[in-house]
Amino acid sequence: MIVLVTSLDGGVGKTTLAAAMAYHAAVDRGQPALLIDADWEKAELSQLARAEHGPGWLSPFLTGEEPRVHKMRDGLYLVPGYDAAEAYQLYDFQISELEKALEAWVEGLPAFTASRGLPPAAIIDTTPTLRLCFLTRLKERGVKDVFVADVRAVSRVSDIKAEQYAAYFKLADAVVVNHTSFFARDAAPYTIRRVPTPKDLHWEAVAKAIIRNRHNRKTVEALLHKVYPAP
Amino acid sequence: MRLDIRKGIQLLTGRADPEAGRKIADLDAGEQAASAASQPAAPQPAAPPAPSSALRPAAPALAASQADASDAPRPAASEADWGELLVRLLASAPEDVAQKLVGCLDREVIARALERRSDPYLKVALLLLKR
Repeated sequence: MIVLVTSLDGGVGKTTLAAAMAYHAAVDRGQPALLIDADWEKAELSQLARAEHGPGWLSPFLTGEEPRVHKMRDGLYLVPGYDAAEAYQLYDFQISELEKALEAWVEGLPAFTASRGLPPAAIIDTTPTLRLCFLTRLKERGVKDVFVADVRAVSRVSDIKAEQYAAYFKLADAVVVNHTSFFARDAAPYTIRRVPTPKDLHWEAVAKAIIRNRHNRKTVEALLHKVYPAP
Repeated sequence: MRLDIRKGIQLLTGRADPEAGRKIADLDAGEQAASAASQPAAPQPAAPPAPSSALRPAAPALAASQADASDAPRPAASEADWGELLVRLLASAPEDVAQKLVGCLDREVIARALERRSDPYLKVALLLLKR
């Protein structure tokens, strides 16, 4: 079971939601999870998790090295993405190369987790605006797409934006609207409300802050029930 | 810079399986074929670029979900009003969200929004709505 957390715009809360989902699954539901930080622009989840710098999810394809899996807590692991973020800045990549590497992870994940004693289920944090053709390919492999948006999804920024959102909505298994502040709050199926920023920007503090809110907790529970059901 | 997809997936799966990543490797072949096919044998004048959706006259907000829209004249984007915006919002939202929104709106408001466009299909829809 693989869940991809995607978005069209940056800064909508993909990483935060991925962390909250993984925390709730592993800690509250006792359902171990493997996080993969495939945000090749920033690798923010790796930073929030204080993962050690080293080979991450891209290294098997880049240098032939085994990725160094970071244990976040019992039942929760992370394949970091520092290597991909650095390679994205340093090398003249075609995006299709990174897409193929991520697709290879989807194909190889069952064998990878089984041989290393890791949880078989994965939540993948991604970079914004993954190509629709790529998302379609992953969905054909059974990957669930959780699309995260904020108020821009229901604002009329432009006709182009509306067309783009319509296309991404069509592919999504679940749409989460973050930081809702008006009518969409009660209309969208999954919404996340703003919570006070924790002083310690560590993944667990952020995830706890999100889930402490009763509405957010219900959202995450419902979301996991839909895309990450217990085996 | 190219990534070694086959080697990577063999490392992940722990086996030197020639079938590993075959489907992904097939993409390589497909892309190369497409790339070769797209390169003309002789230089040809470049075709004019297709206008982006921003440049289309009276651009509709939504593509796929409105593929059946009529050819009736539409107000330009700058002339878009509340009715246009409401219809675009409802059409672009996921179906379950749109259902909830429609449930919250007064039927008369929706009818007034639909009346703003002269289209035979919409007229029939309005007749049904007002029945």
